[in-house]
Amino acid sequence: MQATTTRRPDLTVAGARPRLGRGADPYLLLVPALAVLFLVSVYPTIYAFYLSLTTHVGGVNEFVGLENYAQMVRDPLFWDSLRVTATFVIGVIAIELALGLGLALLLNQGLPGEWFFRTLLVLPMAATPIVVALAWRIMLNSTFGIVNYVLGLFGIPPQGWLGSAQLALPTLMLIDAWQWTPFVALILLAGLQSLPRGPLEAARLDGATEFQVFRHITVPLLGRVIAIAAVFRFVDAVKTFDIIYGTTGGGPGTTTQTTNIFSFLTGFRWGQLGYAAAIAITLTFVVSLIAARLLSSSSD
Amino acid sequence: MRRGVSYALLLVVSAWILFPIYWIVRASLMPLGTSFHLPPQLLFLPTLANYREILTNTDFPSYLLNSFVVGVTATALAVILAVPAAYALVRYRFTGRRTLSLVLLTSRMALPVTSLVAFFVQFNRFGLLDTRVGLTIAYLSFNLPLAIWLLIGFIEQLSVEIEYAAMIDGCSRFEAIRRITVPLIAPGMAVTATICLLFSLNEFLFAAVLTSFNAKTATVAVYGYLGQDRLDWELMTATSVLVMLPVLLLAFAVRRYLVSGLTLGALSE
Repeated sequence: MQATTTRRPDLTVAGARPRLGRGADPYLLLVPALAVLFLVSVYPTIYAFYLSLTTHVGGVNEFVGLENYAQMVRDPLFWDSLRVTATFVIGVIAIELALGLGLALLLNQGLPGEWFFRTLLVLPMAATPIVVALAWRIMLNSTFGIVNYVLGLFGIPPQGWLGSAQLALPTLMLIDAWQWTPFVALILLAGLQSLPRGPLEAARLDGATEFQVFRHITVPLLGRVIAIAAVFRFVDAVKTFDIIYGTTGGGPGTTTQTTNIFSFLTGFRWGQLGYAAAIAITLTFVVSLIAARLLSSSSD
Repeated sequence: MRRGVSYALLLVVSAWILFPIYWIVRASLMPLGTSFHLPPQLLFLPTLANYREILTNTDFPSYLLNSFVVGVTATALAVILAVPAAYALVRYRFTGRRTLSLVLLTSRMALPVTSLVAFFVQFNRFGLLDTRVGLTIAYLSFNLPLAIWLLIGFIEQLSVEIEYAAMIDGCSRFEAIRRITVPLIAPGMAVTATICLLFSLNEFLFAAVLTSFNAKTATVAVYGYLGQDRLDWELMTATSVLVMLPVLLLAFAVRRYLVSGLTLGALSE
C-alpha cells in the first residue's frame, strides 16, 4: 500500500486526480442523508413556521398571518421570560467561565494524577439531566434535604431554595454550573495545552510575574477558545429545559420561566401550538444571530 | 506547598462533582423509608431491595427497554446515513455544500420546541404519537446532524492517498470507500455511535411530549415518579441510577471525544 507515485493514475476520463466538484458522486453519497435530514429537520422547521401563522379554532387551523407574532410582542409573559432567560444565561456563562478557567489552570500544571480529575470532569456533562434535577431536588428539599441540614449545623436557618422566588433562579444557575463548568474547563484546558510556549517564556525571562503573564499573555491568546466555550454555553443555556422543568417547572410564579419553558408550556400545556411555534422560531432566530456575532467577533 | 494547595482545591472540586451522584446512589441502596433521616445515617447495611422492587413490580423495565430500542435504532440509522454524507462533505467540493453545512449548524442552534410542535401535529395525524417509530424519527433530527459532524472530523484525519492507492489497484471509488475508508474509520464510527446513544438515552423533552404510555422512555418515567411526591426517595433514586449508570459508562468509554461531540467538533484534536 506504500505506492508513492509521481504521476497520478488515470482515474477519471479527464485524467489526473478524481475530480472534485464534478459528476454525480457526491450527490449519490448524500441522497440518503439529505432525504432523511429534509424529513426530520428541514420540513418540521418549515411546518413549524406555517403553524406559527395559524391558530387552532374548533378543530381547524385558521390562517392568521403574523397575529401570533403580534401577540408575542404584546405579551408581558413573553418579555418576562426573556428577562429570566437573559439573567440565567448571562449568570451561568459568567460563573462557568470563571470557575472553568480556574479549574483548567489547576489542571494544566502537570501534577501527577491529573488524568483522574480530568476523568471525573466527564461525569456531570454526561449525567442524565432529568436525574440531575431529581438529585438536586432531593438534596435541596427544605425539610429533609442534606443541604439545609448541613447549613443548620452552622446556625444558618433552612432556605426554600427551589421554592423561593428570590432563590429559585440562582439555585438553578448553581445546578447548571454543577453540570457544565467541567465542560468549559475541558475546552479551556485544551486551549491552554495548545498555547505556543514562546511568548510565555519570553515574558517570564523579561521578569513578568505569573499574574502578569496570565493577564497579558495567556488570556489574550486563549481568546478564541474562551469565545467558543461561551458560544456553546450560550446556545445550550438558552435551550436549558430538563433541570428547570424537573425542579421548579418555571415557578414559583414565573420567576424561573425562561422563554424555552414558556414556549413549551404555551404549546403543550395551554395548547396554543401556533403561538408556541412563533415564540420558538423567534428565539431560534435571535440565538443564531447572537451566536454568529459572537463567533465572528472572536475570530478577528 | 503550592502543589498541596492545588491538590486540596482539586479534592474540593471532586467532592463537589461526586456528591450529588453519591447521594442518589446511597439513597438507592438504603432500606425503604430511611434515606431522609437526619442526621444522615453514616453506617447502614446496603440493600438491593429497591432495585428488585423497581425491576419486578413496576413497568420501569419496559420504559428502560423503550429507551434502548429507540436510542439504538436512531443511533444506528444516523451513523449508517452519516458515513457517506460526511465522506462527500470532506472529499468533494460541490454546489450546495455550504448550504448543507448551514442546515447542520442551524439544527444545533434551533430551539427544540420548533420541531417539536411540527412532530406533534404530524405524528398525531399519522398515528405516530406514543410509538417507538415516531420517537425514533424525532431522535434522528438531532442524531443525524451530530453523526455527520463527528464523522467529518474522523474522515478528515484520513489521508486520501490510501484511497488513490486502492483505486490504482482497480477499485472503483465506491469500492475504495467500502473496502478502505469504512474499515479505517470504524473506531470513529464507534465513538460517534456511542455519543449519539448517550444523548438519546439522556433525552427527555421529545419523549415527554411524543410518548405517553406505550413508548414512554425511562427519563419520562423518572420525571413521573418525581411528580408523585409521596413516592419513596429510595425507589426514585434506584430508577435514576438505572437510567444514569449505562450513560456514565458510555461517557467513560468516549471521554476524550465528549467535548468535541458537544461542540460539533469545533475542538476536535
